[in-house]
Amino acid sequence: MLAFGAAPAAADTATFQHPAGPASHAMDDIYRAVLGVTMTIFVLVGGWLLYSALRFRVKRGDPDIEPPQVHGSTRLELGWTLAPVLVLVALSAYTLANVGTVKDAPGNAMVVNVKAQQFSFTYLYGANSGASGKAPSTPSRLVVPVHTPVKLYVRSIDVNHDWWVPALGPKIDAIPGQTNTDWFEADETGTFTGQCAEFCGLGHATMTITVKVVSKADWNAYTAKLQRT
Amino acid sequence: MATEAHTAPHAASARPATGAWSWVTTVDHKRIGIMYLYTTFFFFAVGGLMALAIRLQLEHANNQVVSAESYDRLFTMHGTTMIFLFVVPVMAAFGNYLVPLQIGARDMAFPRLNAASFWLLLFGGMVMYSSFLWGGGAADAGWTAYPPLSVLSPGHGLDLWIVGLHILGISSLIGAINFICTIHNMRAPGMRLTRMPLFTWAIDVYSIMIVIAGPVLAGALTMLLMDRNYGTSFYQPATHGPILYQHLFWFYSHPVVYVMALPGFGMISEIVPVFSRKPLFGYKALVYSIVAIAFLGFLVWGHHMFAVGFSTPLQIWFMIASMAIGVPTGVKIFNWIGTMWMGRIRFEPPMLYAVAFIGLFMIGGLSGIFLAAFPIDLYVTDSYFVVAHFHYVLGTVPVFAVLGGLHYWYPKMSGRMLDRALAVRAFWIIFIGFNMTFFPMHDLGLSGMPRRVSTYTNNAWDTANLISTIGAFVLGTGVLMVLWNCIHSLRVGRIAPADPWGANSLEWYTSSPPPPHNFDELPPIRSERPLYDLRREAAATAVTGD
Amino acid sequence: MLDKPTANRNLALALKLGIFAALLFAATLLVGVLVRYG
Repeated sequence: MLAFGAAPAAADTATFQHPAGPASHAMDDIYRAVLGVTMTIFVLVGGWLLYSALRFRVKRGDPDIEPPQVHGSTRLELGWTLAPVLVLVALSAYTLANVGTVKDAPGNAMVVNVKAQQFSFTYLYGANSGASGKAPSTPSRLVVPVHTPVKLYVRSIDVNHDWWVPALGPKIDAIPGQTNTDWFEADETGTFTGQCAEFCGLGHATMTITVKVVSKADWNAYTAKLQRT
Repeated sequence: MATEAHTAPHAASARPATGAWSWVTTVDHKRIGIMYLYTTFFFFAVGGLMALAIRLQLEHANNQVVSAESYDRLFTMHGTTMIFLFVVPVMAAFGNYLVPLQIGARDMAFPRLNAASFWLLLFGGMVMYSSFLWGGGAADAGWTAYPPLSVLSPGHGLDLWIVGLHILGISSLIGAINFICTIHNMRAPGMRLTRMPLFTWAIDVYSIMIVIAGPVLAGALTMLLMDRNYGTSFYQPATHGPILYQHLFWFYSHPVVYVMALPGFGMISEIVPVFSRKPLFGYKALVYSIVAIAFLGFLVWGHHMFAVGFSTPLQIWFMIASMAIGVPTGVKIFNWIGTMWMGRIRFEPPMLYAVAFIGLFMIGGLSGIFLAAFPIDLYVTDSYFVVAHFHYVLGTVPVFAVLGGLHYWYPKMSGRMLDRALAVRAFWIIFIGFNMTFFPMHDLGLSGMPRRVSTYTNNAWDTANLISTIGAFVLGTGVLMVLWNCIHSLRVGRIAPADPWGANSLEWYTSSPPPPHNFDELPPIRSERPLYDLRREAAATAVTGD
Repeated sequence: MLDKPTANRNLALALKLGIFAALLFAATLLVGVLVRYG
């Protein structure tokens, strides 16, 4: 069991993959809070378990005496019911305080319409983008400007899919028959990848997502070019 | 610690009938329980082989051990087999064998219906597996079978899957009704509900949950079958059919995880007091927590659906309810450790498994907190983090709780002791293999690896996947060692006395194995530990003289 | 063989549980119909 007390060490590497936007930073904050609490519980309770297992083991040559036959303790029951309740209430409260950042796009966000199908995602720019009605020059590669909130309207034309780019923020299902929304804002330029995260058939494993985040200047040039097509 | 059996010398009529036909026609709950055991463990092995195939395929990026088509069938049938053909019915296996004994009854309320549940289990499994041979291949839409994908899935694999599940559902339902009637109407005098062993309590709650949740799944699957074959459109997108399905499916499938876990908890609650030589700490609290978990378990299903586009208030509800379930679960863990505290612990194989279960289940419970916090869930849902989580909460139940129970009750069922040294070696191999297989999956999910992918291109995920694959083979080896021990000891194991462990509940009062009618007589039942009380009285009499 | 009162109690409880399950199954189908056509 101690071998997997390496959990704290592993946890340092097990953070969200380079969070690169306010939504994923907020998620990362909640994650660290939960990690702190769960690691503490793991060490305390796991330690108590291990200690009990070792300390109260019968060893060779021990006298054959029956231990005190304790049936329980109401005080302990109340205590160790109340304590977890308080911890979980605190965690929930902290989580709720951060929900808005994760879920709600700012009002002036740029709109991108995402169409999911077996087995690709394609995009169409919408309001506030400067290229409304146009698809990116490569339809399955989304290009967006840095430091700009992007609101995604996600739909599917066949089966359930899910749009997920780990670095940028939360995932959202693409369910035929409805339009779901998601949002992100990239802190830095670069290319971020992801893939479909809802099993959708034979091509699920290779249904990739590419988001290229460019500087505002490059974005203006890009939209100008799109407008001319 | 061992005590002699309290059964009369066997009269000819008390000896069980032999021969295959006597097994086929049996209505004896003990034989039915054993047939359930053989069947469920057979499916465990099959499901395990599927897991090994999955792990071989995922061992490194861009691998091509199996086609995407085969892979999709493999993970679908692995999950389906493990849940519906192993863990759910293996609890019925132990329940069948033990519940009448634990409450001092002669058999279940409906012995013939009991036999029917077993044969339906076997039949349902065969129907489902026939899809590998004809109809265009096995089901391939995941054990969750979400429409529209599951409506569109070609061939008849999914139809056979649905029909098979219906048969299994009926088996499970009549088994549940049988348990409830038995537990509520057939307890021996003195066996009040507040004196029942925790395992029997757990089977009672298991059964009630099946009666409530099972029919809803049956309804959901019936509509899927109709959409696939009879031109209906219950799950059409225009009326949010895909979402309707998920609600109905998870309304059953979340409670079913507690259906699976609670009897496992019951087994731990039997083993820990015996091998700590103390009474269960907090018997009443443990009973309340079983009921609380069952109740709350019906209120949290939406946490499987955080990414489908719910309103925020709904997500908040499911988050809070899911966090709340952590409380009674924690209470159980604290009471188990409290039982060990200041005890005199003997690490016989059942206790090794029980202690491992407590620690590893706790890891699964803690990873569940991440998933309950829905903003984090929106990152890790549908990733390997979830696969890690559910194997730590659900995989530990069969691998540690049930194997612990198997080692504990094996002497009672077979009349033989298992090879202790082999059992201990197998335990450690299983412990190491299990953690090697599933712990790296937490990191894989956090690094962005989604689940249900037949292959991946990101080489950064290679190392963790390799460790997991090796771990799976180590785990498989350990399980094989356990199965070998069980089979070999049937012939060469030391003869087991009635009570090899110094245990507390009524099944240990009668011989190993029990005669067909279970008990010639019963001890007085004045607490939840009738055998402990009897030993104490005997010791007091011995000291004071007659 | 079980004594009559116990056998009757068993039968009564079993029937109640069976009917409850059947009603839930029907209710699920009803929900499906209502969502689709309602």
